[in-house]
Amino acid sequence: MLSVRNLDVQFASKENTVHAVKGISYTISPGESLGIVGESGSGKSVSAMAIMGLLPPTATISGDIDFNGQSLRDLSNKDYRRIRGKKIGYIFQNPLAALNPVFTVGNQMIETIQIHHGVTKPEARDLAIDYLNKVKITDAHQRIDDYPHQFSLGMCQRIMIAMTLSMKPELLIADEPTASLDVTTQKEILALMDELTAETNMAMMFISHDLAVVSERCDTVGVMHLGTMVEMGTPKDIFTSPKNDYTRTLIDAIPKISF
Amino acid sequence: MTPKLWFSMVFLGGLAVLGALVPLLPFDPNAIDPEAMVQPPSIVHWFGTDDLGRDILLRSLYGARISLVVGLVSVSISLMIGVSIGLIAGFMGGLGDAIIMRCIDVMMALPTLFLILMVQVVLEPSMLNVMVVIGATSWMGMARLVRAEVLSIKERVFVTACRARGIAEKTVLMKHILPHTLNPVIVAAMLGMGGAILVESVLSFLGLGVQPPHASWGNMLENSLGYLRSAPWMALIPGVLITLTVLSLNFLGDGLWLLLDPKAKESHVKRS
Repeated sequence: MLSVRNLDVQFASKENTVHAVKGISYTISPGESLGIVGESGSGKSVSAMAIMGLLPPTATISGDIDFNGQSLRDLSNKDYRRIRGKKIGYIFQNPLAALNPVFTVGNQMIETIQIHHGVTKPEARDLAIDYLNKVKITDAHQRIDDYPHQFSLGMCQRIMIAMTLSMKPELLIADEPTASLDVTTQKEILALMDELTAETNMAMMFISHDLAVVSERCDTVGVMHLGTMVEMGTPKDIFTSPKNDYTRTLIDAIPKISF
Repeated sequence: MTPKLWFSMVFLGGLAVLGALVPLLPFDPNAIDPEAMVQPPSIVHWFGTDDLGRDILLRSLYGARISLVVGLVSVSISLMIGVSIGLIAGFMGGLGDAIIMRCIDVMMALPTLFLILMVQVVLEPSMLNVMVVIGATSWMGMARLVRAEVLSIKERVFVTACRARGIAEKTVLMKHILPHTLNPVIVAAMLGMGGAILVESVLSFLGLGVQPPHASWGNMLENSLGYLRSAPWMALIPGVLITLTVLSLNFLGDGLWLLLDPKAKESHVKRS
């Protein structure tokens, strides 16, 4: 479904050029989930943003990004908008920052639903409430008229998930969806995501710095380091016989509790 | 709500209400009364009369209509131009932004009052011209303000998130970015209105604004020039009104800034 070949991203500024992603390749088939692990600045998010076509104009991109046999890099802005959200959903790391603070969450959900499903406003509102119920927001029919700051971070991430899923994407890119949440909320959100993705059988690209979280729920795991994909394989292969030093460092970094 | 804000709201509100209602009264502000020329304030004529025996209170209120309308209309024009150009420049960024900003720099270097005088001399002096020219020469500050806001807002994650949901660029700009720029714009509009009222007074004073016999604060002042010693109220009353109106608008801008911007409140508390 998604195939990325030799994706290379550079950011040019007057002083120097930053080579953020150095020729990485991967594919995701329908219903499959790919996890990408790496430290901050390893190029995980940049490569995901490249798929969305949302890198700033200072970025120079080369390589191929094919989605359902269509080259995303050749798309016009107008055609790209039909892919964004509708075909490829994106969940951001900080849910509170990803919501516009001056509009109610309902307003933003309804706007999104109306763009992609061409329904009337009351229908979109009903759909929005349905999805808020799905992500277990209590009193969804009332809370839909609340502003983002009236929700906790975990709730905001549920809302972002509801909003993203309401567009029924074929591929979901989750960019460190739990990195800004505390551990218990993290667990709830992950369980919710597992439940909802299993229901819809959508493909997923899960970006995280936590090898354990990714290995638990992805069919394939890719390890990124300094812009290159240093290792890729099933979670079992990666854990049992890591070929790369950096992967070994990551595995050692998983806290083990011993008494 | 500070006392300054209260004062300016009451003063401007009162002036607007009186200005709106005064044409309903059965008095003609241009009626000449040879019996009552240059009279000091009295029970019949609260603010006195001028050299043609016209009631100064009545003429002041008609002048308030002119000043407030000129202020409102010219600021609306400058808002429309300034906000649109600022939004476009900030959102485009890059070369387009640089070109627009350099053009604005050039515009700002033009002597505005001289330009307005020229237009008024070449064309017929008319209220509409005054308002359009003031509006068309005072939008640059607004544009810079909006551009600066847009430049910072468009880098925020929610803007990227909007795009990632497939929302069109135009909607992102008009619906999601524009509201964030409004607070400083409202404040600047208040200050701009004070400026516009001053410019209109200057023009009328020079005889290039509101034409006699119609009353405006500027031409009332001009009228009073010959009577500064014998009838100081003729100059004092429009002068004080201009000062208080512009002052109120500045207070209002300041007060609104404090009310609307939470960061301003913090720094204000620290200062005092």
